[in-house]
Amino acid sequence: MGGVGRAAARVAGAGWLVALLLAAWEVYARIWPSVFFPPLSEVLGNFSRMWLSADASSLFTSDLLREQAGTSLGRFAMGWLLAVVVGVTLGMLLGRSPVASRMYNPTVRFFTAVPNTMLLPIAVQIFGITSRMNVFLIFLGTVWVIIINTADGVAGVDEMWLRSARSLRLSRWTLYRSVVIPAAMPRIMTGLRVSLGIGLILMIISELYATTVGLGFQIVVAEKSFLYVDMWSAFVLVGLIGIVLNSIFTLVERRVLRWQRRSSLSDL
Amino acid sequence: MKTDSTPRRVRRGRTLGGLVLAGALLVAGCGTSADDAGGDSAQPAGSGGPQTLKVTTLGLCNEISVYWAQAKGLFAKHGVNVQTVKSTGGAAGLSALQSGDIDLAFTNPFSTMIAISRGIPLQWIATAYGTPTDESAATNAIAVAKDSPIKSAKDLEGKTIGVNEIGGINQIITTAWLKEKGANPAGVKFVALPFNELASAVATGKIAASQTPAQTVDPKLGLKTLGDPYVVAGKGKSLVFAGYVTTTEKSKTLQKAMQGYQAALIEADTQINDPANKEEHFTLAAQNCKQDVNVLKAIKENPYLAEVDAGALTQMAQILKDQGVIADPPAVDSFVPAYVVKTG
Repeated sequence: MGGVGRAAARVAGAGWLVALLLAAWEVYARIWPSVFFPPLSEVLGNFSRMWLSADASSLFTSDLLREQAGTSLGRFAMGWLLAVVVGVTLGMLLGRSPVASRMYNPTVRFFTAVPNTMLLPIAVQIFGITSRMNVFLIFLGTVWVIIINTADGVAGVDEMWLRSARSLRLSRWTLYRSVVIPAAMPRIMTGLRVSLGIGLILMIISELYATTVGLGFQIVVAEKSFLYVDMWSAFVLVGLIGIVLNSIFTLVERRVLRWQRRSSLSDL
Repeated sequence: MKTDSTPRRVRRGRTLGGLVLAGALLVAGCGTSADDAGGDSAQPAGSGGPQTLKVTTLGLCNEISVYWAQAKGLFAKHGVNVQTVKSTGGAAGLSALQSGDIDLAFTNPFSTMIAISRGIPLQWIATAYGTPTDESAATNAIAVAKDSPIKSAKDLEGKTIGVNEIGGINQIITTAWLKEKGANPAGVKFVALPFNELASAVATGKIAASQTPAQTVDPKLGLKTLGDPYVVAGKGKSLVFAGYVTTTEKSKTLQKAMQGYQAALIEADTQINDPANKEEHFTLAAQNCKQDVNVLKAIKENPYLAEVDAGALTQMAQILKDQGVIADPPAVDSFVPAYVVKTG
């Protein structure tokens, strides 16, 4: 079997369950029609009208998509990237310093257990009806899992590697750049991947109220107006955004961990 | 001989996946059969004894008619047994209604008419309460900060107004108020906040104004009112604020119970509106909505009237049409059964 054939077989192997579920959706909705659960074909038709356009200059996207998804993704990008910077930095500190770890580990575990969506009213009081409220919630919901995974990854670096590096009298910067960070990278990437999913969920939840724009806001408007086809179209869009972001992340992960001959999660 | 080279683990996974899907379809299929049968929340007609109706409640003080009818045995007197089921909102109640779990949803006429226009078959069985016709009896308010430069509806153009629910009755009525007061609603943004945060969001300057119950416009919080939007939108007539809705199917199969339900509420309202029962009705409301009875006595109440005001519903349908929410609102006769007692 050639390379193309193998790739096609891999795609078919990975996609059969999705295809079956989508077919089941269509059949179920046709046999038992309900305005609450429209057929997939109707949702996809509406998806095209709602989110796409024939204008190549706007990359075939509608004004609504650019305004709503653009706002949501902007909030997500700011919150998540901030969490990556803060989470990886703090995780490094906690992973390398037993004293810092003992001091801050209970705090980190406490905030990991707190349901962040419950902080929505407090975030509104602090930041008002602004995008900063959404960014804050996405940051707060994603940073802890990054801290924990980074700290565990750094703390778990093989002591033999560290002793060898010290015997070479490497500078602290070189030690981190060439030994600690690469060795901890699989755990860091795991944390980032998990946080990506959490961030996307929080992006939608934080827009369910106290906002005037965004994909979550669109879902609420559709639900309250009993426009269930619009609501499902928005769900499909959010799902596709998740797939695209995850695919981009997989590419980055493969590139970053190319030195490591292991199967990534996506290959399972 | 041809052999299956697929690893056992993969084959087992496929079998499991198939079983999960088949199970899901089976469960879904079973659920739909129950829905088709109209659910099992009400006893079948003709089974003897009073029929049981499951009715959603938000636990509001304004739902006094149901509390009164229950406490005074009026439902039993009219041949119906009522069980209240807690709900989170009008739209959630309508969804529960469709699932067959309940028989009557406590909701508002706008949500009902919008749902009907989207293909959800509903019937309005009884009104819970209406809206005041005079500012002196205002129960709602457009609240702004006392020192705010906003003095009129026109000043709200380009600003953000808080409401409890996006697309809900309060947003639609506030939009009507803006229009009646000469402002362009298209230039106003609405944001949803919980009821208990609407006043403080205005007081702290997070939003320019909010549509809120009149009693929350506390001058001590630094708030004042621009008026009751329901009074303005009603144009001198009382609108319908909330009521009880069922599915078209249940309005037929449970007709006797539905009639008994409305008759019990009408009798309850007569007693509630009797000044001699004032003390008792506030006490009962306070017990059910977990409010201080003295607070309830101090605030104004919406008028209680279980008869269905057809004229008010027609007026509200026109508001939906004027705002472009629905192009062709349903005629009142199409969603209020003939057996329901009407006014207007």
